[in-house]
Order: sequence, then structure tokens, then C-alpha cells
Amino acid sequence: MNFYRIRVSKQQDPADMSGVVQELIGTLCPGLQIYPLNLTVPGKPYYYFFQESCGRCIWVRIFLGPLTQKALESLLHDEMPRVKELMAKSMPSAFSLKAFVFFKSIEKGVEQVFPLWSKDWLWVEYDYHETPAAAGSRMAKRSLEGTSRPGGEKASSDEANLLQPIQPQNRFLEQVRLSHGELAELFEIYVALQS
Amino acid sequence: MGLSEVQKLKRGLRDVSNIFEKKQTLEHPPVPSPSAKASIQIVSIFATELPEDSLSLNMHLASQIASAEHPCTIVSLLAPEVPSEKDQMIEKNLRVTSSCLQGQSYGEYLSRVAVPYAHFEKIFDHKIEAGLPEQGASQILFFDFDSGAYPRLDQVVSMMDKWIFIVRPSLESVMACYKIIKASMRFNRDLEYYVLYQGDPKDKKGEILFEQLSLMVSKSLGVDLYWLGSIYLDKGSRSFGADLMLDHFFLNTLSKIDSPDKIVLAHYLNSQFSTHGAVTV
Repeated sequence: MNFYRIRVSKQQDPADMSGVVQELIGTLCPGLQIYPLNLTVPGKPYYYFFQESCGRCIWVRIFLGPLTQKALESLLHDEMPRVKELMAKSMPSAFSLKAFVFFKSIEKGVEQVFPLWSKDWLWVEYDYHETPAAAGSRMAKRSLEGTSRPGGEKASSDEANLLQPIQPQNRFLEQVRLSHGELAELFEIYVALQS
Repeated sequence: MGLSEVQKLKRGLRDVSNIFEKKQTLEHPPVPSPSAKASIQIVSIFATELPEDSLSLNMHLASQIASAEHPCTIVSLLAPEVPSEKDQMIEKNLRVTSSCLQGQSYGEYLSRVAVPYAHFEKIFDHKIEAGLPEQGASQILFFDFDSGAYPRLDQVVSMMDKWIFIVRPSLESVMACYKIIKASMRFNRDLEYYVLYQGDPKDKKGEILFEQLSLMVSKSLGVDLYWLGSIYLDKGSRSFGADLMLDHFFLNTLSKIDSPDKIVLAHYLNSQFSTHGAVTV
């Protein structure tokens, strides 16, 4: 499991969270060349997309609070598949997707049972000098601004498709919550299948 | 000592799986039921990561089963929201209209019909009357639907007899399978669950997956899982092959699902086919 803990100073430009995230990634992966992708998802203000020079896309998901079991379940089963789909549509030439997950803390016991082991994911615990509410409000505003081009020009239909809110992948599955015990057992099955 | 007590004292195949208990039922034919529920079974396949392939997977399984003894109908349940590419294709090909359902026939024992959501609701809301099928006639319906998008899953699941899960050796797939079993139990306690391993039939992971998952499901949810074999899917070439163990799949021709909706649906489909006919392809 790649698990980083960093301390971040207050960003210089409060309107540009993307720049801050880019700096964070630069701190975590020195030498990694990444370029911001102009993709936003209304209603999902804590998503940021970048691309490496090799073509791989990077998805950054920021949690303003602790990484809970519920949040992880949603991330794995609802968000990640939809983001992969979004990337496949918008960047068909990109051959893989790497994810960074930022969070302020981790719910006790979650790391024991949840798939934080993925070598392609980076899990970053951060200490951000700003209240979650303020950061959320600012990032939401930024996200909504990104839905139209400068000068008020409307996005093309292709772009509009990309800007659709990400819906849960499966409503039926979304209703089901698993206990820690169930998650632990399912994880054990997964581990047995890897050996 | 009653028959059931005798069975409890013996160790054998019946203790391993209730599939074998059903054989016992066959040897002692029950008193014919006045209802036709016994002759109608509803099956569906759920592929955790391939919702768009539901139709072809159901079609493949149905083609393996369809016979004079088990005539099969694929019932594509179309979601009410923005139709997917697949739904649009089905509507176009089957010439679905609001007034009638046009089916397709694939030989003598296999047919297919698409049911738009508005139509599906109407069937049950108005309890459309249709003639009862002949006693003893067997009918198998394959539900082709997207469990992530279909709104009346409670009603759909409550009618089903068997649900087949295509499971990959990944955490996401195993977890989705477990979750959907857990969710569906609220609507149907008699539903039978089958596992079809997505991978090489020679791969030992299939056995490990089934053994461990069935143990967990039995312990945590109190239901049995049955092994149905392996399926190999190649998304690139959109081709697949399967090594299915169907010997015991319909050993029991009697349905345990006492659902009036199932009878209404089956009779309605029969009446539609007899009234409007089916296009043979």
C-alpha cells in the first residue's frame, strides 16, 4: 500500500485548487510530468483530472473529512467505474488510469478491511490549513465555473456528455451496506484468490 | 419417524446441496396444484461488470436449455429512463409499440420479447386476463434486465426462481455478488443462486472462489450457492465460450416461488404471442 502523509500550506491562489493538487502530486512524485485536463463534473467538486506525458490519466479524489467505510465503498463501486468510463470516452488514447485519494484522516479499522493495497492508487493523508467548509465551497464554485468556456460559449455536445453528473453505477447495490466482518471475509477471499 | 427425519439422519449428497433433495421430490410427485406456478420458472444472469452483455448471456444459456421439455423465452425488461444503445436496438428490432409486444422466434423452442417499462407496469396494474396454460406444460422465462437501472427490482426479483452470477476473481466482482444476494433476500427468500466463474475452466481460482464464497454466504446469509461452471468472455472480440454444468439445473421442474405476478406475466406473454405471433429469425 502506498500511503503518504503530508502537510500542505495554504494555497497562494484560493481560486485554483487544481494548481494546489498539481503541486501536491509534484511533491509526492518528484519528476512526474502532468498536465491538467479540462474535465469537471457538476455536483462532484472534489474531482481533478490530469494526464502524464506517457498518456496515462490521473484522477484525484479529495475527501474533506475522514475516509470512512461508506466513502470507500462508494469510491470503489460507484465512483471509480464511472470515472474509468468517463476517461475512456474523453481520453480514448489514454491506456491507464492512476488515482490519488486525499483525505484528512482514516476511520479506525477501515484500512484493515478495504482495498488500500492497490499499487496504482496513492493514498494521501493531508493536513490542510483551511476549514473543510471553506475549501468545499471554493472548490464547488470552481467546478461549476468550469462547465462553460470563457466568454460564455456553451460546451459542445461531446463536452456536455462528459459534464454529466456521475450517477451511482447500480442503485440496487448502493442500498446494501456491509458490516466490517463481512468486508473482512470478502477481503480474505480476494487475498486467497491472489495467492 | 417421518420421511424428513429419516433424511436428516443420513449423510449424502442431499446434505451437500439441496439440488439433490429436489430429486427426492421428483420421485414422489406432489399433488398437482390448481395453480400454474409450478410450470413456470424465471431465470436471469447477472454479470457484475458486463451489464450490457446481459442479453447475449441470457440468450446463450437459454439456447443451451431450450427443448420441447423446456421451451424458453427471453424477456428483455427495458428501463424507463433514457434508453441505452442496447434498448434502442431491441425496440427497433422487435418493433415494440405501446399497444403490443412483437416477439421473435428462434426455432421452435426459443423466443424473445421486449417489454418497455410502461407496458410492464400495465400488465400488473390491470391484471390483464389471459387463458391459463395447459397443466404440466413447462415454461422458462429468462429475464434480461439491468439491475442497476431497472426501477421495480422488488417486483422482478420476487418473481425469479434462479439467479446466476458471473463472478471474476476480483474483489469488486466478489463483493458485488455478495451484495446483490444480500439485497435480493429481502424480496425473495426462495430464490436460488448460482455461480458461473468468469475465467479459464482449468483455473483453480474458480474452485477457491466458489468454495470460500459459498461458505461465507451460507454462514452469513443462510443461503446456498450452486456451482454452474465456467465462462470465458473476451470483450475485445465480443466472443465467449462456456463450460456449463446444467445437468441439475432444471432437475426440479416445480417452482417454489409462489408469485401471482409471475403467472400474470407468463399468461400475458403467451396471449401476446398467440395473438400477434412471432417473427421467426
